[in-house]
Amino acid sequence: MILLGEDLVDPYGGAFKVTRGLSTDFPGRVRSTPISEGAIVGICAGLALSGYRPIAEIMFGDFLTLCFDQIVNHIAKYEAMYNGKVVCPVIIRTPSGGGRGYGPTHSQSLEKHFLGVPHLRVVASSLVHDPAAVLRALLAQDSPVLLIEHKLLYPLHLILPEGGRIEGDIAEQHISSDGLPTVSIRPVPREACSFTVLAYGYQAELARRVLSRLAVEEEIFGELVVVSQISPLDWVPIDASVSVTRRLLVIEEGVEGFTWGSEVAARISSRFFGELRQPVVTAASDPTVIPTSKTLEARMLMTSGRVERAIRQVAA
Amino acid sequence: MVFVTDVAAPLAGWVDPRLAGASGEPRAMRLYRRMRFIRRFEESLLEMFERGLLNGTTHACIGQEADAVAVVEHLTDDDHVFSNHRCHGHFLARTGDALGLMAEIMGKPEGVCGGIGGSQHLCAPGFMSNGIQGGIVPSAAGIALAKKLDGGAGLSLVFIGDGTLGEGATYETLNLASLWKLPLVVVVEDNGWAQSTPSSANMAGSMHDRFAAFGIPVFEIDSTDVEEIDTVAGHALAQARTWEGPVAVIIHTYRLCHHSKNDDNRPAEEVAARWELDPIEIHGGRIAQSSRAKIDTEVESALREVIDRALSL
Amino acid sequence: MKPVLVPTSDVNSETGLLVAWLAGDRSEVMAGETIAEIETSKAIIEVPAPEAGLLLHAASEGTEVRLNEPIALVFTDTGMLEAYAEEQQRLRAETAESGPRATAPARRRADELGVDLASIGGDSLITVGMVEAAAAAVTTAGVELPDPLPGIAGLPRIALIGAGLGATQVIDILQAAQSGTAVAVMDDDISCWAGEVMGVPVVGGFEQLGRRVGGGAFWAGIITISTSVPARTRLREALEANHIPLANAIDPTARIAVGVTFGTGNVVAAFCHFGVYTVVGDNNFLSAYNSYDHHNRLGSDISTGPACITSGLVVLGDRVRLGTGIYVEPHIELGDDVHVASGAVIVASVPKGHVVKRRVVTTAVVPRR
Repeated sequence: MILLGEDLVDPYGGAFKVTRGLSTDFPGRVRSTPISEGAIVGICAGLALSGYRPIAEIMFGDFLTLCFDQIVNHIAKYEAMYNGKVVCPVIIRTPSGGGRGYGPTHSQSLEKHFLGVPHLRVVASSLVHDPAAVLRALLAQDSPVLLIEHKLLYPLHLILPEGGRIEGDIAEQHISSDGLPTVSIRPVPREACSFTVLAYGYQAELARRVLSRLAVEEEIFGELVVVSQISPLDWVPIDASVSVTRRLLVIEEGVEGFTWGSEVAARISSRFFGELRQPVVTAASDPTVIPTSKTLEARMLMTSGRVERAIRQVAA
Repeated sequence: MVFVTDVAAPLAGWVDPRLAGASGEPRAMRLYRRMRFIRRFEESLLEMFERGLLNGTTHACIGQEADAVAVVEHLTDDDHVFSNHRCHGHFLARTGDALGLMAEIMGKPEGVCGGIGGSQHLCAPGFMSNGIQGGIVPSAAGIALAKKLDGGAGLSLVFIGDGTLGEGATYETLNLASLWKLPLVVVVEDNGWAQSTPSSANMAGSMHDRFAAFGIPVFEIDSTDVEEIDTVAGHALAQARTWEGPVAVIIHTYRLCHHSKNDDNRPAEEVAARWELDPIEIHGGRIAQSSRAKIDTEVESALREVIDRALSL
Repeated sequence: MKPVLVPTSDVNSETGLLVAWLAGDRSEVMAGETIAEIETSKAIIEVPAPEAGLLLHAASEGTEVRLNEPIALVFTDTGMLEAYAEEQQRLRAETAESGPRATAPARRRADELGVDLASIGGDSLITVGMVEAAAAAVTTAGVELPDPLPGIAGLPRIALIGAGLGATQVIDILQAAQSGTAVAVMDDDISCWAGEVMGVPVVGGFEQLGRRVGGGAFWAGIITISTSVPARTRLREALEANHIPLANAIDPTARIAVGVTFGTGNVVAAFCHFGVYTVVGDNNFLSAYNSYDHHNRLGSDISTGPACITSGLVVLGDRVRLGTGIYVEPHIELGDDVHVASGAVIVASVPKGHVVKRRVVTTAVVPRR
């Protein structure tokens, strides 16, 4: 395994300190690179084709645009266009998301542009999934992966299911056939939940807190389904919840319009046509740039307040 | 992902000595044979396109055969070649798998990539190609890094054109390859034209200086003579194997055919003048007429068999 | 005392790790002296003492601290430090969380019904539904529920709905009026079951209604809850659903003029006056000294405090709630669901769903010297 990216080497240890200590413990295998996203990811492609397991760190998810060609036209295509003669198991990790006031080009959630790229998996970290287990599962398979780490999750502690519970709520974990987890959290048995919320990453944590509070304060009972791999989706745990609650809200931080939620809504509407009690509701950030000013940012971004409003819309 | 797997044992790796040259054949003749083989392959391909037997597009390398043949002379099994859209010459020189390539271009499951990759996207032991200009250079550098980490002596070669020097990925990679002292060999086939645009309208500054700027030694030659190119390639690859770091080879050559199919609006006199420097003719003149004719016949019949076989699949 | 804050600038986190205390708890520190080290995702921050004095730690070494809250306090004298420390200790003990997990509505309902949350058991979140089920389960789980009184021959047997103070008023009115006899009291608050109100047994919750009336224990009910209009409405509907008629309880001191009609379920306290041809609906609780002058019309489910005086031709809608000491001029209509604050003088009609507020300007409350 090789780690490549900008400013990874100690003592700096990466812009968000994720790799701190690694270049010391594993000399030669963790390298800082010049500011060359295309080359960083492309060199990882060559390494992967040669049997290595490279992990690229793109400093901000906003910079994924600079390696879009390498990801879409090279990494995601090699195995298929060469009829299975090679594999290209590159993992590209990137901190993404807003809420820190970093402005229009350092706050985006651009993963929506990589959804549906054939042969590319898009995975998102969240507090309820063990990151070591997820990474192990990804390293045990040969597809290329885009791994999104929301930067607001970095300073938070993991909240993993323990004894089937998370902070008192029922927490059920479903592992897909290739080892990727989905965790479903509900304050009361599923039959007593009147809606399902589907989310990932930081938004999943916001939703979890809102749902927990609404359950205790107002007996608004919703089940939260937190997926790790967002594309392609493991529909089993999602269907299991929606088939009972028959109401779905999909939330994400990316901007509105042709989103992850749109795809989920299309598939769920098709599968559960006639059984849903209301159309699938989707919630996303406003379709514009993310302002630097804290107040302006909070107005267009998916915040706790907007998550709550969306939940009340589907709980009504 | 659906792979094309319902085929009998792969046909790749089949190397016909009539096309690649038997062991023991004098070098000069081998060089001629291989160039002739590539030329006839490409011409047959274009003719089949015209007859409507083939689907899609292709980028023939007529006029540039000497480059591939000369460079491959100095490769070992540990080396890897990454090529671009105009890759047939490189592929044939490296693997000799004419049937695999022909079947691939015909879209047959017996093709080297099951008909999925086609003319521009080939994969064989020691060889890959992709149709994105410049985008292939980082992959080649990654392969070079892998070879360095493996501790072996292998080189990673990448063939680009003059037009590729417009793509940013190329420069990002040259910088990194030089910084990390990767065993990467960049071979630029400057044929003066990027599709329909001459280099003069495409390139500012000097081609040589682009590599020198990153501290990369440049081996440059303006020739279509395979023996001259062979000498330079020999020096370049020897350097690449001994010193730590990338090496660039710039071959000023000329494409005698269209860019792809029937899209050639270069000045007719210019093209005609370059036909005078046909590499097949230049080198063929060094070989005895009778030997040359014999080689031509062998290549022709072998090629005929390949085409017939491929058509029948 | 001065708080010791972590000097932060451009820090990417809200919390940090208190890696080391460099000055002990309750030790003397100098102004500017480095007293602690906090590690954040970006760097290790040295924390200086804001002034000289005695240091009181507010967090332990090795714990996570919030960067916008003080990690310690500096006091100028020991006395104040110890007093503060003691206070913090006491507060910590008081607010220690324990007990079963329940939703806020469930806690309120449990209070209402007298259900002990700990008795519900299990490790799920306790909901209103579960509390109500537990309450119902208790009744069927063998709490000895008494039988209603046999009653007095010749007087209709009445069930009183609600075991609060309103029940005592109604029992008194019935005894005085000799228009019926209270034989049972029902209330959803389990804690008063098997008890009694002025000698009348509390026989269980409202779900007993259906069961008992079938047995002929009583023939009508009176809702004794005086002030909560929603409760009166809800219970009236429950009685109707169980096909139980409502009875009136009208104090014998009430002066009822000619042509006045009453519906059912009305409670009329002492010294009320109903002027000629006034019409009164159902299930109204009218307190003492209410006067409805001639040709008034009252709706249903109304609740009033004492001393509400109307003029002629006044209309009160359904579920109107009047405080105490209210005057209403003639020809006025108070719409459905209107609430009027005590002491108001109504000089114009009030549209439905509105509230009449009154600001007391001359009455002042001051401590007696």
